[in-house]
Amino acid sequence: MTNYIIRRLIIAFITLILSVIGVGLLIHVVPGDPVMVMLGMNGGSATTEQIENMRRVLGLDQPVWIQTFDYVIGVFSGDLGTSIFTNEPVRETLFKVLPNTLALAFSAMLIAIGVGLPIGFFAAYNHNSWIDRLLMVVAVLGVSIPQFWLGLIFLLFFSLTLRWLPVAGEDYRSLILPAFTLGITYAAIVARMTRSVMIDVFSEDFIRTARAKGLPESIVLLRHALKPSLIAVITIIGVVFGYLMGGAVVIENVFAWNGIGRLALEAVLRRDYPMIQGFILIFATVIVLMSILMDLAYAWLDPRITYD
Amino acid sequence: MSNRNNIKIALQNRSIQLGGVIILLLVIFAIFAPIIAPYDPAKLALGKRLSAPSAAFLFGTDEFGRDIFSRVVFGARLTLYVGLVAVGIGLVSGVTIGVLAGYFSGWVRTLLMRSIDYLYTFPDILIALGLVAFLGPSLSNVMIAVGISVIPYYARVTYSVVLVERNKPYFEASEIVGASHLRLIVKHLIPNILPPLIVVASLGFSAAVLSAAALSFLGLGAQPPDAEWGRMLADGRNYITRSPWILLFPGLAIIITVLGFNILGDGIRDVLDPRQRKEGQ
Repeated sequence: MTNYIIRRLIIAFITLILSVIGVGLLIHVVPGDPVMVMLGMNGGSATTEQIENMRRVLGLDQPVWIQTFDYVIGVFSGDLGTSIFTNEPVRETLFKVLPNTLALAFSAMLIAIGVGLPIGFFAAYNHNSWIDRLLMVVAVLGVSIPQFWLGLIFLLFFSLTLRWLPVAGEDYRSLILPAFTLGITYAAIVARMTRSVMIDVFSEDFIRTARAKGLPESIVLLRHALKPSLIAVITIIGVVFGYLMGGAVVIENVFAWNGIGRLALEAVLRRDYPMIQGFILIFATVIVLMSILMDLAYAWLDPRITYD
Repeated sequence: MSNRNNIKIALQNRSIQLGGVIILLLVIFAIFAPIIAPYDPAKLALGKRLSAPSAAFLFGTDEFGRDIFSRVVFGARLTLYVGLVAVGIGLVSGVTIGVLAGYFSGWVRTLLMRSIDYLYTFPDILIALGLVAFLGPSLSNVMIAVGISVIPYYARVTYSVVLVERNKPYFEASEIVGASHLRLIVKHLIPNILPPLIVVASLGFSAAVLSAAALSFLGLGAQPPDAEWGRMLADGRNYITRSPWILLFPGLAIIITVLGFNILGDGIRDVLDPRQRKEGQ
């Protein structure tokens, strides 16, 4: 078990280093000269001195491998660079609003799991009945609605028309609508995923055996179906969490929620490359951490996973 | 089972019928947009700005007095175009990677599939956003970015099918009698990858449409005065209290399109998966 955990951690660490290298190289994807693109966006005409200065500050006057090496060293010593636009350290700027994004993602997750899981479970349990079909029609509708559109509808209805909730802000009341929008769209995905894994679980031989033995249904569900479904649920949580974070980027911009997604869009529109790199890096880290948690949970729950 | 039989079963499936009709309508709208749309989608009529839906303006007009119905109709063109290009990029690159990784073992496989698995953990909207950030905002860059962001789906499906097929006796037999790599791939692998790929492509089309609309909504894709559904919602968002139709119709257009491809994909999957067919009918 300890070996397994150590091996997972080493793989995660290597993944992180590779992510940092990849993000460091991203600036070379920019068509043309990134310095000219940035200065063109932020100041109009620039003097040769300014251009050379910026090239030096960003390290772009160095060979690519040195740039990348410096970037990796910088990141691992906690330096994500400086915003070209605000001149503030990228790390501080992003970390200041990261809790807001995490709050949004986690509350949306609670809603998505809380709504989607029971629906998916119920549909699978009543597989091929009319209720299963009805729920799945609702779910396919749910995954087809663009989140930003649903967000605008909610905004129009609950904030602008009924005036129940604020249009924007930073307190928990302003969190309700974005979290609900995000949560409810992912609830449809959770329901579909839960249904399909639960149909598999319910058709497993050990469930059939348990029923054939004449065990009461409650025992079959609690003692035999619960554990394999927990593993499935953890997979679903892992997948959906990543997607929730992605959705948060869009939703934050609908509700002007002050998180890293809003910051990222601003950075993209201003071509503030160090800021964008920092944003992608934070995301990569959160997702890698999440996948470690998943692996540990599997190892703990699934007796079939060996640790050597 | 013969191909004709398969098609017959497919056409009797209600999801395929419904999804197919929706997509067919969309294609008709896209092709005949200049005939169907009563007005020029870019024509300004400031005197008629924000008019409610009426006989003259079926879906009302936007903040510049442009006919929303005409813009929604022309939007079908952009949406199909974006979806086709994005899915095309994802499909071609994904299948190539999947076949290479499944066919050749050793470090090629390890390198390719490790990278794909890594990319797969990221939400595709995020990969697309990151790429657009560096490529620069524009509709064509959104198509490229969304296309790249969906490569992992196609690569993984292709890879898993190739792994199964190449271990079957017939495949090993052709290998032993000396069939070339190209022949093995084109003759034996591609036909087997196609059915599951059709499902992924259909579901992937709706994902691509959603991502592209979201990016255009954020201002990173289509630029004014393009009649693109996501962009229309972004431009109209300041007027939604006074003129909710600005919000309603482009949104419904996206939903119906995405729904069409989702239903079609689900239907094809049901037909292709014999276990589901047995239980479902």
